[in-house]
Order: sequence, then C-alpha cells, then structure tokens
Amino acid sequence: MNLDKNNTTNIILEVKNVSKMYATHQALNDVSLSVPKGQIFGLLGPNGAGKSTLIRIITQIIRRDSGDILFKNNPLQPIDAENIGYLPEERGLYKKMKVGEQLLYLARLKGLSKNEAMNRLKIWFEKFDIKPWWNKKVEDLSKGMQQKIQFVATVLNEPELLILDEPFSGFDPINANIIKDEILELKRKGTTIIFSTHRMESVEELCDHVALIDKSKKILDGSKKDIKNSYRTNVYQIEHTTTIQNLGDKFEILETENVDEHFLTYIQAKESGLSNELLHQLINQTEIISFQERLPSFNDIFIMLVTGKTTYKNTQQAIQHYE
Amino acid sequence: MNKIWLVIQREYVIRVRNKTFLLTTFLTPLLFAALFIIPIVLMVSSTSNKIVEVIDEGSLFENKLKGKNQFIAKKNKMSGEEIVFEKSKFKTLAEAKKAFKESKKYALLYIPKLDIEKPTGVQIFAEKGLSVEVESQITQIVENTIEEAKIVKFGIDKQMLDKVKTDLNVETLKMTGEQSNSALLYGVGFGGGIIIYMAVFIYGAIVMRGVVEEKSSKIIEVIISSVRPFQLMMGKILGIALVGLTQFALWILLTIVIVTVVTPFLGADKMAEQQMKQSTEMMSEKQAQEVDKKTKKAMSGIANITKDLPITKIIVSFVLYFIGGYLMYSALFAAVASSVDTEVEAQQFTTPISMPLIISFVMGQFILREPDGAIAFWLSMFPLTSPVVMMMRLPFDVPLWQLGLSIALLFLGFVGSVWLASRIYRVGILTHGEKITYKKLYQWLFLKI
Repeated sequence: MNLDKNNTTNIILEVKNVSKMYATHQALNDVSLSVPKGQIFGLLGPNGAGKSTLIRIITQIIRRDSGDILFKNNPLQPIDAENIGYLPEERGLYKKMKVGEQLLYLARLKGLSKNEAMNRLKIWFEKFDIKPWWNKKVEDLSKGMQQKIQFVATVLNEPELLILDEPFSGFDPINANIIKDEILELKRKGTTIIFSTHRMESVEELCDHVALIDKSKKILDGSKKDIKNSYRTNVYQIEHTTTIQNLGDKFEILETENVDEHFLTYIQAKESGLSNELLHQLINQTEIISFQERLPSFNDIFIMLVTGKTTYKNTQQAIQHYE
Repeated sequence: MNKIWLVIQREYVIRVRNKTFLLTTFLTPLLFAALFIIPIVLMVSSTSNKIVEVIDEGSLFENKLKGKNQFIAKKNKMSGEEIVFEKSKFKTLAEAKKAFKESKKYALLYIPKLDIEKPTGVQIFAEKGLSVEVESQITQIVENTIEEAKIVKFGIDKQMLDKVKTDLNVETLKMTGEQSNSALLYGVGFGGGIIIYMAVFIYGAIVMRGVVEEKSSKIIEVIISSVRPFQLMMGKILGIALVGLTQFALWILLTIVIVTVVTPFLGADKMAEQQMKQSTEMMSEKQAQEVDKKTKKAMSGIANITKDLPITKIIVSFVLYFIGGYLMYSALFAAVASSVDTEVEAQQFTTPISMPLIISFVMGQFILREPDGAIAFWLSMFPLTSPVVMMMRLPFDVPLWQLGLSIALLFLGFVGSVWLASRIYRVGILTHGEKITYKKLYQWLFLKI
C-alpha cells in the first residue's frame, strides 16, 4: 500500500525491501516503507516486532543485510546522521556531566559549530524556562527534567527527519503535553517525524500516516484516514429502551446487553452507507437513546491484525494486554 | 575524524578537571618528594650521638682514647649518627649499672680483664635492647681492638701486615669497556617494568569504567547515532591515554620542582657537608684519604649513570611501550566492559584477560636475573607481555633488532586487539541483560551487524 511512486519529491525517506537477520532470528523481513515529508509517521507494532531494528538501521547504528534506503532520494550516507535526530527508547545522559556542557557536546557531535550550538541552546533554555539548570549535574535533576534535556538534545540540530522511539515514556502528563506541543510545532516548521510507539491513543492524536510491523514484517501501511476507512466494520452501537426484533436482510443483530435498565445492541450492516435506513427501522421499534457507528480505533485495528481477533466492542482490556 | 577529536576532548577534559585527578596529580609528587626529603631532614635533625659507656677492666681501650675519655668509633652513613665510646667513671659493673639508669647514655659496654687469645665475657647492656646494626658495629670495634692488641703481643710488624691486606674492588665492565653497575640496572629495569604494569592497569580500569558508565546510563545509543562505535571507543581510549601522559608529565615536573625548591630551603646540603668534614677530621689521615677516594668514586658513579644506562633508549621505549601496552589492554578492557551491564561483572572478565600482564610481572625476578635468557627473550617479543618484560630487559642493553622487532610486534598486537575489541564492542554496547560467556564474545566477533 505504498504511496504514489511518481511523487518522489514528497518522500523524505524510502525503505526498500530491507531485511535483517540476527544470529538466530529474522528481525526484519523484506520491509518497505515510504515516509512522506513533513508528516508524522507512526511506526507501530508489538514489542519485539522489529521496530527498533528498523530504526537502528535508519539511524545507521546497525547495518541491513539487504535492501536499500533512500534519504532525500539519495542512498543513505553516514553524513546523513547529522540530519536525522534520534531519541532512542533506551535513553540517558552522562550523569556526572553538567547539563549545558553535555548538550553542547551532543550538538557538536551532530555537526553543529560551538557558536551555533550555544545560540540555539540559549533559545531552548529560555523556552523551557530551565536557565538555572545550565551548570547543574544531570544526576541532580529529576527524571522528568532529564527527559526534557534529552528532548532538547535530540532536536537541537534541527534535523529534517526526527525519529522518536516511545517519546512519552517517563514523562508525567504535564511534561508529556509540553513535548507533544513541541512535536506539533516541529511538524509545522516542516520536520518529518517518525514516531514509534505501541500507545495507540497518541497515534490517533498525532499521526498522519501509519505503518504496522508485526513478526518482522510490515502488515499495514497508509494514511490514517485511509486505514480507518478500509477497516470500517459497519457495526453500529445503539442504546435503546425496548427490545429490537427482526431488521431484514441488510442488518444482523450481533449482540444485545442489558445496561442500566437500557439495552445496548450491536448491529452489523451488510454494506456501508446504511445508517439512515437502519435508523428508520429502529425508530419504529424502540426509543433510541444513542446511536453511533463503531469506527475502529487503531487499537482495534492493531489487535485485529496482530491477534486475528475481530472486535467491535470496547477494547480496553486488550489494550492493557499490549501496554 | 573531527568527531573522534570531539570524543577525545570530552574524555580528556572531563577527567583532568575531576577532583580525584587533581588530588592524585598534586599529592603524589608530594609523596615522591617526601621520599627524597625526609631522609635528609632526619639526617639534619638527628645530631644526638649514641654514647656507649665503657667499663674497661683490662685497660684494652686505654691507648685509644682521645681527648676527654672519648673517641668516635663509627659513623652511620645513612643517618649521620655517631657511636661515641666514653670511659666510665665507675670501677665496677654493679656501680655503673646502677648509675646507668639515670644517665641518658645509649648502652653500657663491659669488658672484663681479657685473655686476648680467648676473649670471653664481653657484655653490652642497654635500656631497650640494641639494634642489630649497632650491636654488630660495637662488636666489630671491640674485635678490632683485640686484634690490634694481639699484633703487638705476637710481635707482628704492623706495616708488613698492612701491606698483606688486600682491598680488591672488582669492576664490572661491558665488552665495550663501559662501566656497569648491576644493582643500578636491576633497579631501573624493575622500576620501569612496575610503572608500565601499574599504568596499564590504572588507566585500563578507567577506560573500563567509562564504557560501563555509557552503557548503564543508556546514553550509548544517543551517541552512536551520531558517531561510529569505533570512533567512540578509540576516542575514549586515546583521551584517557592523554590523561595518563599528562599525569606522568606533571608528576615528574612537580617532583623535580618540589625537591629543588624545598631541599636548599632546609639547608640540608650544608649541614651534610659540614658533618662530613667533621668526621673526616677525626679520622686518621690515611682513613680520610680512603674515604675521600671512595666518595669520589661514588660521585663519579652517579655521574656515570647516564653513561651506564641507555637513557634515551629507555625513555623513548618507555613512552612507546606505555602507549602500545596501554592501547592494547584498554581496547580489550573496553570490549569486555561493553558486553556487561555492571562494573563488577566487567572486573570478573578482565582478570583472565590481564593474566599475561600479571605473569610478566611475576616473572620479573627470573627476567632480571637472566635478562638475555630464552624466557626473557620470548616474553619480550610476545605483545601481551612485552611492555613489562622489555622494560625490565632494557637497562641491560637489548640489541636494537630485538627492540625493533618487539615494538613492531606490539604494534601488530595493538592493531589486532583494537580490531577484536571493536568487533565485540559494536555488538556489546547494544546488548542489555544478557549472560555473557567467552563463547558468546567469540561469536560476536564474526557477527554481521
């Protein structure tokens, strides 16, 4: 389900048939992806699916066995590392080093000059209101504070492609929101962001494009809207007061529950675009309290694809299983 | 290249600014200087001589007395202390013993009326017991005096006897005709070996800790997304090597400064000179001449050290062997550290790796005893042992081809160990919580990554 191949100018990163074999197991099996420029690209998948391997190959930490990677339409070069920001899931800082010094060092490793790094750091320190931290040792900061510093280190060289692996883990809700706003701000400025996670609520909220990797293979890839549409199940959830009888050939009652002196019924339509017809039929039979189409959440799609279980109900339990 | 330089800079600056570094760098020369200065201070301050009271029933010492019932018997070269014999005021041992407790004299020597052919009954009393050294000195003096009495008694011509006495001082010479001082060579060889041994361990351990720190603090993945693992490893190793060289240079410099500044300030030179003069005055002319001769010889011996030792060769080789040995071992230490999660685990793995180093140190005695033997030769060629062993052999003048071959092999060893280490390192730094065995490390060598 790749995007239009002719439209290569809008693709910043192209992964073509990449495979990776570790000593005993296949970590990536013929994975191809196209990351559109300026979008937030969600890279999803259960633990151990191969997300981290793919990211490490893109960041050139490890080598691929086969396949090609194009960055801005050219084969990926070591120098491109300066244009790719990476926030790993396993992240940390030199504990004994002072905050300012450390950020300066990390920025210079990414190819910034000392002066340029200094100027940018000043702006970030004002923005996050953390000027007094400059001369503090990292170990004297709280974990949340350290995460903020880490984030600054990742984006300081203003990379065109930013790879964030579980960026919100370790943040409290307030700081997570700050970081989320920063991510959206970066996107507005034109940064492309690959966002690897297994937390679906942040995918729904942030991503424009999604790829799902499971058992070392890509099993889904496309824009968020397209995916949601293609996984539309045409299941409706109706809350009503009295029982529903026969609804004809086009509809099938899947299940009815008794909830707080009401009924909750799931109805499957044979094709899409029948909501009005269903409503008509229902109005004649019962009083409707609520009516909605159950659009699959990414959670649903994710679980359906990974476990093969279709679900039209609330999948909270299943989510917990994956978190 | 630019990035490896950044890594070197960080590794260097962060350590040189560290409090522990500053402390050890500035305190150690004080310690070294103290080793030089304290003996001098002791010599200067201990002007009190040891007075031995003598009850001489047989009048053995009668004709040896000088001035007021005293004569200087022996001067200790190290401390400058003198043993002074003093004729007792008392006639009997019992009286003298009673009075001795009150006096602050060092010892009481009792010489009964002696049959000089079978001298028995000489006794020394002291408040606390004598040091072996002083006891033997006193014994020697009494013996000499008895011998002199015998010479007179048997009517031996003193001059003839002096002529018979032979004082032979064998000089060890190299075939080239240069003078050689085996004790000095031994000392320099052992010293060089020990310094290399310690330096490799100390700075290798710093590399090890640095790698473990990067792994356990989890910064490693952030860094290697902008730097190649090889650059990071080499940057760290080279940066710490510079720390080591800085520390050595400062130690030598500061020790020299402290010694040269403090010694004249204490006035130790003059004092020592004066004492020397005094003591020679009290000796007979002949003795004085002899002492003078010996002193001169000793002085020229010190001046000869430079001639004796291939100094330039030793210094140049020291730097090469320190750098080579350190680089080789610290690369291996880095590899081990990269594969584990804690420092404790790393230490368990470094012990077997550093075995060759420990062995070469333990073998030191054999090597110094036979610096041109087969064991010494082969150990000084094998890269893992050559840094220590060759340093031990060097003062004994190693042929240039051997030195060259050994350094070339060390260089190969270093390249090999860095290659080996970087193969393990690149896998190790990304591995967490795995149980590491040597077998696994071996597999990592050939792993494609």
